Amino acid sequence: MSSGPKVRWPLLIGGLVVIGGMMALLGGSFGRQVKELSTEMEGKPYRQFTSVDFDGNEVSLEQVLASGKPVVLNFWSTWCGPCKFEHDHFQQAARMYPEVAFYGVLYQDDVRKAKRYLASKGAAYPTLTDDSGSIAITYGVGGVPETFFIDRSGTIIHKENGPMHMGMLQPLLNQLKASQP
Amino acid sequence: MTAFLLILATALGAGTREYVPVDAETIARAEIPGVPPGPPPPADQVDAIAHEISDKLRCPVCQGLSVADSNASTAVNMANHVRALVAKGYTEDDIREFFITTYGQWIVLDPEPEGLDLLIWLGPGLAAGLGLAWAVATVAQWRREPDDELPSERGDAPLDPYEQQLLAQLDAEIESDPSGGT
Repeated sequence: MSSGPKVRWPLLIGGLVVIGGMMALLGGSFGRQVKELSTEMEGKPYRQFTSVDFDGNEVSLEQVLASGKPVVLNFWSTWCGPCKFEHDHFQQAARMYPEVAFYGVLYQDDVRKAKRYLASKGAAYPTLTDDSGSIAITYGVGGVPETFFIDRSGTIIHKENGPMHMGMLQPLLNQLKASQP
Repeated sequence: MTAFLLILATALGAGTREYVPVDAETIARAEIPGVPPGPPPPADQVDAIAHEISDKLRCPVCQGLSVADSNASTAVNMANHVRALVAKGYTEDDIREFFITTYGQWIVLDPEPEGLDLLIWLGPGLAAGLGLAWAVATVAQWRREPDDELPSERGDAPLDPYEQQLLAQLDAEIESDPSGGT
């Protein structure tokens, strides 16, 4: 009676463990969402910038925070569908929370298009220009919409990658409102 | 044909973006925490230093391209930002640290050997070491194993009936032809 080829069990099990580990690593990497990767700025102090809004007014983040207001920075553009989805929610939130300073930051877009869009859809707060992309880079923005919530002490308490609705905004805005300088 | 050549030229040119001078506004707005540790490098070296740094940064909106190799607006802005920082006197370490603390470790194409990324550095060496150990162990095992021979030839088992039959046939053939067939 033939006994067949000898199976080298330790080698087989070792090989399976190595291959299984590699597959798990690859699987884990494929499953990683880019938007989940970039929350590096959360918990860090704000980064100062100055810019001008669509009306030509100069805005310094440092000065806004020095006035005692927490800040919401929303990076958006007219070519971004999710930005349009959240636009109404941000307008409503800005009216509901006058103690919070809202600023839009135009991301890789034409100011004229953005002005037209805001003229038709409403602008409850200023939008800042960022022609060189410096503000976006300073805040680690990789796409839009991305929103930063900066409390009165100047700490970035949350960075949201993706569109937001009122249900998401309210708890964070309450947190900003309750924050201390 | 013209369209094909145009597409081909565009594709081939994708990795060789021509730098445009960084405008004063970009330089003025490029800030990272802290002050530059020293004077800026000579103006004619800024582009080369910046390119070297950008080449190690991942374009956040591309697939497997460095900031230096991509034509995406985000990458162009980042490359300009890097050049502005170099022109201000920030070192490669400062700029690298700025991008890591802003975007995360994934923004660099050569991540620090720590955490899961440690596998990238240790993996190949570990795999080569394991392979070598396995090869050495296998060769050593071959050397320990005696040559293939019948159990009866090793003297540790009696001939089975089939072996006995073969042996008898062989003996009979030898006896019937003592010359060995020559």
